[in-house]
Amino acid sequence: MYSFLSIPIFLAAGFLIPFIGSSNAKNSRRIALIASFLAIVVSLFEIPSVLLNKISVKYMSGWMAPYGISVAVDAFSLVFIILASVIGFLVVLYSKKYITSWSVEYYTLLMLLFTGVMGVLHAGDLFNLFVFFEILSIASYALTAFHKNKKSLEGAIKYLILGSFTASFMLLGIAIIYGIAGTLNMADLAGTLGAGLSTSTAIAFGLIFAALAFKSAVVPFHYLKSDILEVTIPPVGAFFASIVSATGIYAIMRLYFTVFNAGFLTHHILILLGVMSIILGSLMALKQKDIMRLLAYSAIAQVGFVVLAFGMGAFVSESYIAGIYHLINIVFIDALLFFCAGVLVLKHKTTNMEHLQGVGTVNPVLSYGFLIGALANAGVPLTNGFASKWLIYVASIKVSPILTIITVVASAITLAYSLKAYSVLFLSNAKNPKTIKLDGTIIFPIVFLCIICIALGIFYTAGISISEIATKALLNNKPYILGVLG
Amino acid sequence: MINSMFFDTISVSLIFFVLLVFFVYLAGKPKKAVTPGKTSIYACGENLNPEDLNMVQKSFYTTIIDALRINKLSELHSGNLTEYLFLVAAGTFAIIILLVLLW
Repeated sequence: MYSFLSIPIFLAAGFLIPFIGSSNAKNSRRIALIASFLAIVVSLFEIPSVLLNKISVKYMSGWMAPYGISVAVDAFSLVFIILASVIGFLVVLYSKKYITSWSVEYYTLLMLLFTGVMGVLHAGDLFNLFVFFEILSIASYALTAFHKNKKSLEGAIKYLILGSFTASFMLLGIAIIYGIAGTLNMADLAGTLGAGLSTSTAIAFGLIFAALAFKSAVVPFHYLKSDILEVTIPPVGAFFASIVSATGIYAIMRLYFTVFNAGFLTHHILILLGVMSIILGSLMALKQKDIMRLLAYSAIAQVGFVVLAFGMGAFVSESYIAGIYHLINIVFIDALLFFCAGVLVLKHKTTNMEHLQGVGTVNPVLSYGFLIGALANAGVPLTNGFASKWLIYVASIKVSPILTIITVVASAITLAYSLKAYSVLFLSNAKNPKTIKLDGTIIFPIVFLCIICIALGIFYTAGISISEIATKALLNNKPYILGVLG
Repeated sequence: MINSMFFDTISVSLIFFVLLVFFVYLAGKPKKAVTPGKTSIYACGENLNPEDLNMVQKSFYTTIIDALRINKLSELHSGNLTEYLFLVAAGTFAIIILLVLLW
C-alpha cells in the first residue's frame, strides 16, 4: 500500500521541522512542501491497486484483522485522500506570505494536522479513527490560536472545550460499541452488528455522529465554525472549511454504510439535518458583514446539500453520487474562496467588509478567482457547483418537490450573498486602494482551483464517473469486509 | 461518438458556445474605459460623481433580512460558550432520541 506512507511522511516532517527549521526558518516551509508533494505522489500511486483489487489493506506488524491494527483504502477513501493531499499542498504553498514569524511552530502543527486527516481517511478500526481525530483536533486548536491575539485565543479555547466535549461523546460511543461487539475493527463490526441492530447501537451511533457532525459543522453542531474561521489565519481556514469538514462527512458515511449498515429510517434524520443546515447556513450568510463568517456559513449550507443528498439516497440511489460529487466540488470551491478573500484580509488586516470595500479591484487574479468561486458556490452553469447541484435537484424532485423548492431557493440565496460579497470587495470604489502584488505561491493555488472549478463543470462526466466509482465502494461493503478480514 | 468517461456532447457544446460568445464579444470591439462625461445625468443637467452612482451593496439585502427576521436567528449565535455547549448537548440528545425511536 502506497497511500499509507503519507502518514509517516507527515509525521516525520512534523518531527524534523523543529530540528532542521530552527536554524533556518525557510527550511521548515521547504520540508512541509516536500512532504505535501510526496503525499500527492503516494496517493496517486494507490489508484491502480484500488481500481484493480477494489481495496488495499495493510496489517501493522503482520497482525491480521480483527486482532491487529489494519489500514484499509478503497475507492471512496482514496478520493478523499487525494483531495486532502492536493489541498494540503496548496495550503502549504499559499502560507508563505502569511507566516513571517513562528514558521517552525506553524509548519509543525500543519504537518500534525495533515497526519490526523490522513490517519482518519486510512483508519480501519474505530479506536485509530478516534486517535487520529484527536491528533487533528489538537493541531486545530493550536492553529486557531496562531494569531495570538485576544479573539484567536478566545476562539481556540472555545474550540478546545467544545472539541473535548464532543470527543468524549465519541469515546463513549466507541466504548458502547466495544461492549456490545467485543471488537473495534470496522470490517469485523460490520459482520457482528449487521445481524440485529439494538437501542444501544443506535445510542452509540448517535454519540459518534454528534462528534463527527461537530467537525463537519452539520446543524445543530455548526456553532463554532463561523467563530473559528473568523479568527484563524486564512490558509488554515481554507483547510478547515474544505478538508476537515469533508473528513468529518467521510467518517460519518464510512461508519453509516460500512459499519452500522444503517437502517432506512435513519435517512429521514439526514434529510432533516441537511435541510436545517441549508436553510440556516444560507440565511445566516446573507446577514454577515464579516467576509470570513460569510464564507463559513456558506460552507455550512453547502455541507447541508451533501448531507441532504446522502439522506435522499435511500429513495433515489443516484443521490449518493450527487452527494459525493458535491462534496468533492465544495472542497475546491471553499478553498478557492478562502484563498482569494485571505489575500485581502492579509493586506488590510481586517475581515470586516465595510473596511474592505473595493480593495480587490486592483488585482484581476483575485477578482476572477473570487467570481468563479462565488458562481460555483451558487451553482451557476459552466461551474462544477452547477453540475453537482443539478444532480441533487433531479434527485430531490423524485423524493419530494418541497426539497427541490428548498434547494433551489437556497441556491438563489447563495447567489445573492456570494455576489454581494463579490460586489463589495471587487466592484465598489475604494477610497485608498492599496496595490496588491501576488507571487506564484498565491497565484498558482488560485489559478489551479479556478481551472478545476471550470473543468469539472464542463467535463462533468469525469466528476460523475469518479463519484460513481466511490459510491459503489461505499454502498457495497462486502469487498471491504472480505478484503480486510481475508 | 464523442461520449467517453471524461466528456460528452454536452461538454463539447458548452465549450463551443463559450468560444462563440467570446468571439461575438471580441467582434463587438468593446471600449475599455468609461469616459467621465457618460456618467452625467442629462435630463436635469445634473453631474454626479461615479462613486455616488454605486449602490450600497452591504445594505442591499436589509429589507430581505428584516422581512425574514434573520436577526432573530442570529441571536442563537451569541458566541457564548455555555450556550454553544448547551445547544450541542441538546442536539446530541435530540438525535439520539430520534435514532432510538426510528431505528
